[in-house]
Amino acid sequence: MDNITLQPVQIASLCADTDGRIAFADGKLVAVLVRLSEELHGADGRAGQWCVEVGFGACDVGVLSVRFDGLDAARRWIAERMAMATTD
Amino acid sequence: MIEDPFLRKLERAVQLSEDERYALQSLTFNRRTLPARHDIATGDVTDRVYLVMSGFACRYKTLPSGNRRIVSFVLPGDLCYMHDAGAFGRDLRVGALTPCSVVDLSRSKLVELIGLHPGISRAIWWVTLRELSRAREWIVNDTRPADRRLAHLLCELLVCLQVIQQADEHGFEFPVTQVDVADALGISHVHINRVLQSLRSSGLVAWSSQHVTIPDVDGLRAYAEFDPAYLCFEGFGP
Repeated sequence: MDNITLQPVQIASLCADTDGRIAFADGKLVAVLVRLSEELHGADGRAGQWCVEVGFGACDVGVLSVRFDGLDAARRWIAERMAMATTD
Repeated sequence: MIEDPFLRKLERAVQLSEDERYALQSLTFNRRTLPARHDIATGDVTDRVYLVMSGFACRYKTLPSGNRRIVSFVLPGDLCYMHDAGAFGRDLRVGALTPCSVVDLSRSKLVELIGLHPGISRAIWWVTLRELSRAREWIVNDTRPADRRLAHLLCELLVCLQVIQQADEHGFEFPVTQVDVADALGISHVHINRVLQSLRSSGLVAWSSQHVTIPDVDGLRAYAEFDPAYLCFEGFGP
């Protein structure tokens, strides 16, 4: 399995969703995750979830809002996507 | 049918004669109310043209992944499946986003009327051109950043709803969901929240309790680069 690391980052999104992680698989950037803020997503019940804001290659999600309750779940998803890409 | 949104819209393009108005109104049958989230048409081959008389509907397509893309809104007075384009157009569905009142028209009888009445012919031709013109503008709008894209859509809806007297100078009832709007703009269901917040904090748009308010219409139009000419409400041709 690829070595997945998540590096904290602040995003200049001009809105309340500023807490992010840049995700690397074996040292290569594969996705940017954003933590959904209470201010913008509380009404939808999505606050606190991590959303794949942008993905590259195997993690490309287009306009789908792929979300996870926690970072471990996000890490597992990235690992699965990378594994699927290498076995295709 | 007094204050018929269909005729009101057609008469922006063409002055119909009394006979023509009567002929078109006589064509409608099977008036019914559909609940929200129900399909009005699924693309099956029929002789029916569907006319939405009230409520908000949309033309949409769902991808195998489950993603829905709304390719246009259907407002009161709009026809659906006016032309049978063969297998080509049948993957497109028409769904009610809110409760909708719908009537049917027989396509073959409509075609007959088009042959008999120059005014109806010209009016239906205008409806077709208008649809194409709007579809083209939506493609172009996809190129804009998401906040301007939403601003453009709201400017379009304001004009279209004003024509059928369902909007005042600064706003309109808009009982669709934010997810519907995200699917019409081609942005994620998460991003729509940010985009709306951005327009709200700029003071350009307020959307709450199913009502959209646009305090400075000229300001929003400028921001959205909106020019209503593509909606063809000033008629067409010389």
